Amino acid sequence: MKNPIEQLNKVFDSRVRLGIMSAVMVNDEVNFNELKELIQVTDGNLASHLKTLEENGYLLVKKGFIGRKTNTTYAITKSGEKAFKAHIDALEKMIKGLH
Amino acid sequence: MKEEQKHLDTLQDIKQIMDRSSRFISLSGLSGIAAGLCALGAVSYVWPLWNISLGSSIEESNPVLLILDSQQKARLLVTGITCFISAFIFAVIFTWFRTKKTYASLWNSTVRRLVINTGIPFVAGAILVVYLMNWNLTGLIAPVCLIFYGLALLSGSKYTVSEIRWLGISELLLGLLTLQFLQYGIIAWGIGFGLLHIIYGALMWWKYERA
Repeated sequence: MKNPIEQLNKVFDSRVRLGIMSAVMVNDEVNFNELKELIQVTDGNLASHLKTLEENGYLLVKKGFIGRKTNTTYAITKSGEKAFKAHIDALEKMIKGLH
Repeated sequence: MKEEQKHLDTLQDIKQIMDRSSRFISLSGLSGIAAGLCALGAVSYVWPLWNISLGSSIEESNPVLLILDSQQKARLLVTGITCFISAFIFAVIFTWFRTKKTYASLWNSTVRRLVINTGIPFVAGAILVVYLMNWNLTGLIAPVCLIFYGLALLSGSKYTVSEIRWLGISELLLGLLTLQFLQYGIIAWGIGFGLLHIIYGALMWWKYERA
């Protein structure tokens, strides 16, 4: 049997990234400020984690404007959804396995 | 054991963020109580309009029909609008105080979805009520208010505290029940918009805001 630890996704090994994924999982799209408020991190920190997730193909980034202010929204991709579900399954298995 | 706790905490975090990002949970119970008091005030103000018809023989033959003169209609309409606006303002104020404590914002995409989804059935119901009054189908106003309000809450409940769902179902059932006892419409309206709101608000306050 495969060791569940190997199934844990290294990309999600951060509280901020997990937070971002959780939010985009249940919403069609979430903007930068909403994520910031939700996860309570600094702009720079959030931006770097968003970039990592985008580079892994888990996030779809849409840049738009509200009036003159930029409004960047984030949505989950199909592969992001798959990866996140697999990660949660692995977490679940590990908890069960430890009993 | 420590490892297990870490994973459990992670899952807990995920669940919490999913909930917080898709539901507006800072709705204050005090706004429910305030709305209930506004409704009871409104009922006591329009009570004389119903009182003249309660138990009269015309009522029993056709409880739907209750002809009000234009002055009485205006009084009913103004009371309804005033009641709604004051309840709404109280709701915003109490909820605003609560967002200060929970660090949530009063306006974001979740709140927008909550307002839109509650608003559509609500506005439809309000338009229907105005027509019912024009057609002198006064007896149907109370149950229609309750039914549409119940549906509005049900439709919005996905975007806020889940307990709203139960309030919506209660209002809906009360409205349907009122169809059978039209002459007591004003009392049912008072129970639905007054009493149920106060009970709901008090329970929510007790459960989430007491500390």
